[in-house]
Amino acid sequence: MTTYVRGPDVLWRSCLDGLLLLRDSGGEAVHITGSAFELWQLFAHPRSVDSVGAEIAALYRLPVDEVLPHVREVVDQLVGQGILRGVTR
Amino acid sequence: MTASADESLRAVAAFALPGTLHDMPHEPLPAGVWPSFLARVRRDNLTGQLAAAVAAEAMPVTDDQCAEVTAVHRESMHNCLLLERLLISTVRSLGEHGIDYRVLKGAAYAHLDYPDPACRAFGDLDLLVRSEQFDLAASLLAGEGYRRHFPEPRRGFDRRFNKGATFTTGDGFELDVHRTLALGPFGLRIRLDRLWADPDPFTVGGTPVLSMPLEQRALNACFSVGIDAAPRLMGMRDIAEFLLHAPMDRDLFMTLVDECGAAPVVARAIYLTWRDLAIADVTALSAWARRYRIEERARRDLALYTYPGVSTTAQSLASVRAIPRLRDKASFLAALVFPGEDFVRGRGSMHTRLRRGLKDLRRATESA
Repeated sequence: MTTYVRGPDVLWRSCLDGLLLLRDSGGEAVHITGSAFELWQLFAHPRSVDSVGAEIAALYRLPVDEVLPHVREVVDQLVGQGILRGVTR
Repeated sequence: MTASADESLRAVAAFALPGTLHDMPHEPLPAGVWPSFLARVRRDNLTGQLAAAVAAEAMPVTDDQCAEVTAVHRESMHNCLLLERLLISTVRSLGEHGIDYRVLKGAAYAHLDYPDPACRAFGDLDLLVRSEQFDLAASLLAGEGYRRHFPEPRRGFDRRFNKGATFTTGDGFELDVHRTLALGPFGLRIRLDRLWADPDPFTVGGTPVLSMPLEQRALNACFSVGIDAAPRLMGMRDIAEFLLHAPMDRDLFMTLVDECGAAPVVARAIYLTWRDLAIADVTALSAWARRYRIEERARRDLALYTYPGVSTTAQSLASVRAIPRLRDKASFLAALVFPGEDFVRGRGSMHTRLRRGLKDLRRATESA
């Protein structure tokens, strides 16, 4: 199972409408909104998309099926930008 | 009655401080006041405090104003992240060349002394380097494309007498490299070995970096406010954070203050903080600052910094008293009277600068 964790070189700040992320090695800043802060907190340690989706769903009292596609989309985007990295066990 | 931009700015700077008597406005600031208020929030790096006040619904705003605060805060945080990226590359480079450093001011306070770095915006970077490594650090930075604002008056002047130097990157980011915490007599009396005591580490994006210990950071914050003719509210907020929230060793702090003869500076800084942030709670240090009676000579020294428009040449001339050895006094004066051509270029003639410096010195000491 693949888990994901924050990249070791990512600088970040919370802002009123989400989170700003920037890799210290280069590239543009990434701005994520919605439940970005919770998502970022959860990926402080390696976590699977399913477990993070379940936790966010519980936090906002929403069905997991509804939340999971959004989490997967954000994770894919952040992995593509080097903000999150995959850890294969 | 509608709150003014000034009152609102002070209330934002004091937001959530225990014991502040400042009230937030009871209604959104009117369209005639809002733009100047927001411009001053940005100028004074108070975007983090304003965002926190808006998020807590303590500062009433219209929908449009809320959108502006969100955008302005995001922009300032973006700037902080870019500065932190620069910080990481700079300290790595210094480290590779064996140059010790300490992160000073905003970048360190944000991570070490505020509950959330998003509360403390900063607009530049400040690093302390050792006197004996100052020239090496300056040439390393120049080699990496940093542009130095002003050359040193004479070779070796910076590492012996100057506060430091300002550099700018090609992208326009500013880096202040310090040797001590202040220019002039107060800066020269600081015991530099104390600034290099056991460092406080913190991480920036996973990279470990070093700052000065808590009490030394608090001293630095007091210098930022205490020797400024028009101190910023953000600097006062820093002092309030140190004195009201940080687990400071008060005796150690006062030892540092006394060792470098900074009591007049620190007392002024704390007094202004308690006055402008309207803090009613009395602490041992705020009570000390209120009772403090400044001696005549210290009053004259302080006037060199706080009397509006006094030139740095006047501060430099007053520094002579704080330089212990006669030979060093002579070197210091020689560098000011006969500076190198690079230094003089674009700064007016030596006689003009000296004349102005002496005039300022007289004006400031007469006003004290």
